[in-house]
Amino acid sequence: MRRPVFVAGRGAVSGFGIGVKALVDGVFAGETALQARVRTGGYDVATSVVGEIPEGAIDAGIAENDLPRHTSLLAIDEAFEEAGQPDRSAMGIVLATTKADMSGICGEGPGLGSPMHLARQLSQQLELGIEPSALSCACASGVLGISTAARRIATGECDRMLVIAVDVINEFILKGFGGMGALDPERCRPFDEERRGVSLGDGAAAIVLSANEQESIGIRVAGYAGANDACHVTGPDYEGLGIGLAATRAVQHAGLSMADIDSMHLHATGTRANDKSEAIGLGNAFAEVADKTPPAFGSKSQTGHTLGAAGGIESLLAIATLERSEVPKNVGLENSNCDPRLDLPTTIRKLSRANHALKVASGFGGVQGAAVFSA
Amino acid sequence: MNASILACGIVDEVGIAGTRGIHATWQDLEMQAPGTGKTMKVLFDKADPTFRRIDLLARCLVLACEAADVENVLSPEIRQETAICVETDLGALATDLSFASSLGDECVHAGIFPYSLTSTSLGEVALRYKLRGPTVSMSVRDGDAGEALREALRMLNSGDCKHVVTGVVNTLTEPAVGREATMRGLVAVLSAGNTSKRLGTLTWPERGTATDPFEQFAAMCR
Repeated sequence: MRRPVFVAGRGAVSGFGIGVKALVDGVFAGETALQARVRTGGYDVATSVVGEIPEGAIDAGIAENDLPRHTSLLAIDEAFEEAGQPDRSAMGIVLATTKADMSGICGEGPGLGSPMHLARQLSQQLELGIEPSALSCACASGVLGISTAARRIATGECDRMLVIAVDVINEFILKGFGGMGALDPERCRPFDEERRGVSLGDGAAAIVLSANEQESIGIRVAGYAGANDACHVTGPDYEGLGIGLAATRAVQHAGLSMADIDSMHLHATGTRANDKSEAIGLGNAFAEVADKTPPAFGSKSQTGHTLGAAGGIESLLAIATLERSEVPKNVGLENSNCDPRLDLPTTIRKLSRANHALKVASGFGGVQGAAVFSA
Repeated sequence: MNASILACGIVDEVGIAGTRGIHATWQDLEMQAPGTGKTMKVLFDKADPTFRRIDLLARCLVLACEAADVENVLSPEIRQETAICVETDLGALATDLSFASSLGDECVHAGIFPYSLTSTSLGEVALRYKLRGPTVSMSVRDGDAGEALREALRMLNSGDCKHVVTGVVNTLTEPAVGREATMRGLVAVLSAGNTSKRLGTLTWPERGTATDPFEQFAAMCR
């Protein structure tokens, strides 16, 4: 018997600034935080924009390698505030990231790109009572981090868990994606026929999970699952098998039918291959119950791709569709050339029913994750 | 919490061994650890044209999976839902350092960038054996050993998965940034509950004990 898992608190730092409200208001208003590069402006890469945390939102004196820790703490402060400053003595942390602190690899320091290094720092600083965990599952890290933490509550191992999903753009990441030819020179346009690649962004999302319904903000992590394309390590399965499997499994895990899903937050990177296969995979996953998927949106044209943080940041946006009973427009999308079964609103869409939202994510290694949030 | 151990395999500086019945040293094979483009053919009579191009983490894990005979221990249907959960202390440190060294160049080493993420190395395992369950790369450091085993047990005991390929991988061919050279890729195939095919039982590995939680698998391989 699985115990229910409730969302008790949320926090975020993104290109829209500090706070979940800034993020959600910005995305639902159709704004974009992708701007000319400032902090990363000195790096010679083939894109003019990123979703950097705005100047002035954080202390300019903080070293780039320490930004993941700093932004994590800002997001956690907000999440703890919403959660009513929960007892930390029996709380554990799951850190989800690609690399976190790159000190020792780029510049001096002990980080060495080890997620556990940052997880321990945060756990000690916050005086959490349960030993930390850390995972690195590429751009599906955030969603799989939520799964990992939720499972511990569902099985009765813990009553409260803190998930922190974080990544901050640096030279290593920018030049890596740039070298692969994966960056859009300007703002990315997921699903648009003219899309040319991804835009990157800074992000940290904190989510407090609890077994106690009285601590809930009215949202439950109803189901979660993972899958692997088992096809190619950097390119997707062209039939979108993995992302479809993850979505279907998460909905089944929630005890729901695909017909119960009311909104969907997509991975939607803006690369030609990802968007095409994601549309096919999700179109297939919903094909038995409808000609069209539920209204679906991506937000990487607004926040940038925040990599390991994306699953966390975007789960907050999936939750917001339930709270607002609407799905924001897909910014940058004019003409889709992807599977038309994927319902991609180009204006804000009111929902007649807002009970269950699905979040999907994909990453290098064919890694896929999905989570269902229920009101 | 416990699980049945169905198979295991190990690759280290000395050689390769596994419950498939293979025991060989790199010296006897006249190969450098962890193998070359010919290793899969020589040891397992298999063609793997991309093996020589994958990173050392993936090579260690793929060979360990072969030594465990994952392809025969788990049927194709079961592998469609089998998870991978592997831990690493060093992560992709060697790749990170190599890629970082190219940041000042006109062209970065873009070909190795994807392997700066350990999930990419796990993906090489997933695609070879069509393991389409969840793929999770756990990070550990100094004394957290066993995190992947604990997470695998959670997956199995919660009913979220029925089979998990779990293990540990760390490779660094030369000492760097204060870390010693090492090479070990170890995998164990776990199944929920008790099965008659089990070679042993995995029980919950407590944190902070002096014992290497992976030693029982290494012993089975030998």
